[in-house]
Amino acid sequence: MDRSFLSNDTLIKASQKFVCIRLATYEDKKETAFLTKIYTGRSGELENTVFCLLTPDGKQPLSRAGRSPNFSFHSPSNLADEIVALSAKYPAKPVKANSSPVFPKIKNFRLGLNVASCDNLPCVVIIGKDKQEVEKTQAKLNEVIWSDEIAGRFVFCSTTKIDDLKDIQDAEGKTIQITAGILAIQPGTYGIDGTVLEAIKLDLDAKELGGKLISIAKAFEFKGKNHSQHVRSGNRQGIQWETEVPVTDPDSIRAMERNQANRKR
Amino acid sequence: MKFLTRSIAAAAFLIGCIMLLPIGWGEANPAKVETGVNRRIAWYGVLEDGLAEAKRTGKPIMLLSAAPQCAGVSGMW
Repeated sequence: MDRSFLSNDTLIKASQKFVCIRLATYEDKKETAFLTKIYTGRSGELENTVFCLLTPDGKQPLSRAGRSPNFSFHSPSNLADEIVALSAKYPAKPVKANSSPVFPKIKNFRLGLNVASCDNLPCVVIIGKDKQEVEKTQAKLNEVIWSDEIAGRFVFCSTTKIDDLKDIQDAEGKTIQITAGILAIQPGTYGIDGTVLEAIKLDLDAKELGGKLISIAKAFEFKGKNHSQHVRSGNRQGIQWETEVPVTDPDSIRAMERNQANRKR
Repeated sequence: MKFLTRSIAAAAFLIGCIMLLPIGWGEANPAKVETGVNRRIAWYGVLEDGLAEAKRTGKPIMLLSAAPQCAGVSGMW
């Protein structure tokens, strides 16, 4: 199997004709119910991964659902061709001039940092004293994040709770004390801590903000992870991620039970 | 014997994870340190947001879901 399936350039280009949604399995009740309707494995339960192409209302499948794209498509270019063909049947409708894309955030900071770690991407967190302040900053970011140089190169999330940042340190190893602003964070190996790459000032104009994000993306160093080593060393260090919804994938449950038993020894 | 069975089961699970690891979610060469992030798909991470964007634009949806932990260990799809 080609591990770079979704990193294929032709597919990435074609994906712009679709809205791409990647959920975190077992991290939201409503999303779990939605995914369970789309695909369950032989066990009849939601498994770790799901893939499907859907109509714009999200109600009808446009491809066979499965655990990953290569269950239905033999190559990235095969999936790209299908996306292009389907987009001709579902042409994008003209959007109102004053309408902006929906901001692509992860539902909370804890999950955002973990997703950024999984993706080997910098995590950009918007910090505000309340929802209004966060939304104002979000709107400003939304003006610049869809350029080719920025789109897909960050994981965005927000928080109004300073306590969320207790495991984030600055370059000198000090805990972050900030009540409003934007932080670009290098996620730790397990996505449960991180180091600030840059604190971005809120008074930057859109051009400056875009330039800042581009320079962070260019300078970002990502270290590939070896899957089995990562899981082994995570177990040794007692890393245990608490999911929002109980895991139902039978293979995962067995693996977690084995890990717990090993830790008790 | 029990140990062997357990080891085989653990290996099979890890291989399963890697096989399903779609796929560019966690890139790959462990020894390599790269600078700059290559072009990636711009994902919506919240269902409600993605559906709202699909409604706004009329575009179809590519839906993917993955657990941001493997056997309970975070930081890896």
